[in-house]
Amino acid sequence: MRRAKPDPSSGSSPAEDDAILSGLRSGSKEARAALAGELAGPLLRVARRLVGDQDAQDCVQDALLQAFRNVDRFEGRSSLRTWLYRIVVNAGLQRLRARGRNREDALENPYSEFDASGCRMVADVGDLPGVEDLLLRKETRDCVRAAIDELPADYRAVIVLHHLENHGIGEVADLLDITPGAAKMRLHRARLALAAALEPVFRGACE
Amino acid sequence: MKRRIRGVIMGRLPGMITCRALDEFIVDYLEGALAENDRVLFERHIRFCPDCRRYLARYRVALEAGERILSEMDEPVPQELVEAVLAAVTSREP
Repeated sequence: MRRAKPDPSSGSSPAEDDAILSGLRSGSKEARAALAGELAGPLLRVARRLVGDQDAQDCVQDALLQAFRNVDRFEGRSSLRTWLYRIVVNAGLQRLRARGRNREDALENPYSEFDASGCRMVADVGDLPGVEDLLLRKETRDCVRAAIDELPADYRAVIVLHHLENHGIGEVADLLDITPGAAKMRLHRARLALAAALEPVFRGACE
Repeated sequence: MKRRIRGVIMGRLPGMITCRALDEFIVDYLEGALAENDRVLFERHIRFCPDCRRYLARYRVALEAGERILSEMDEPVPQELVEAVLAAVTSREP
């Protein structure tokens, strides 16, 4: 399921962008208010998806103030909105990591187990019910919620950016300043963590 | 087919890949972004490997369940939050 993709650079013309940028560079309060008014909502949306309400507010405030202070460092290689979006994503990731959610290497996963010949070892639990049936069970929903909440910071970031913000793998990699291969690996491992959390449900549902 | 024999066949026969190698393709496969040759290798492996068929089924269910629950947890940004941010950034000198 992929929804319509947000475009952080949409909503204004290049001439309007130039006017706002010029205003920011000259310290205009009106330009700051105009940009904040336009972007606070979209930036809060991604920040909440990453870190929740309270930290989202701090993330976006800090990002906007940082952008106002450092507007001279904006090189124009992306739109002003994309630049701000990237600042917010990175601020969110730092806050997630500060909460201690960065122990991705500690995750053990039954789906990553192979024998000496490279063969996967997955227990046969019979036919799997469809996702609709599984999600009717409170146990499944609780498992998935808990697994999402417990994802390491880097995994949560790729899941949010890819599945909720609808960025392609290349864009996710670009936003997080990692290679596309690393972004794919994180996405894969995040999904494996969800599958591993659901394993007891799969077994129970197939009995 | 015994797992050990299957592993030897998958690992040595041309046009076959191991289960471990399948993991390198799975994200692109589900995105529909796999090159044609790799897609053929992926699907051939799935056809011959019951463990990976089970794995792929569970992976898809976990992925879809994750997307559904994430969407349900995703509520619109409250207007008070937007206003709090605007008040904070417009009242402070950068």
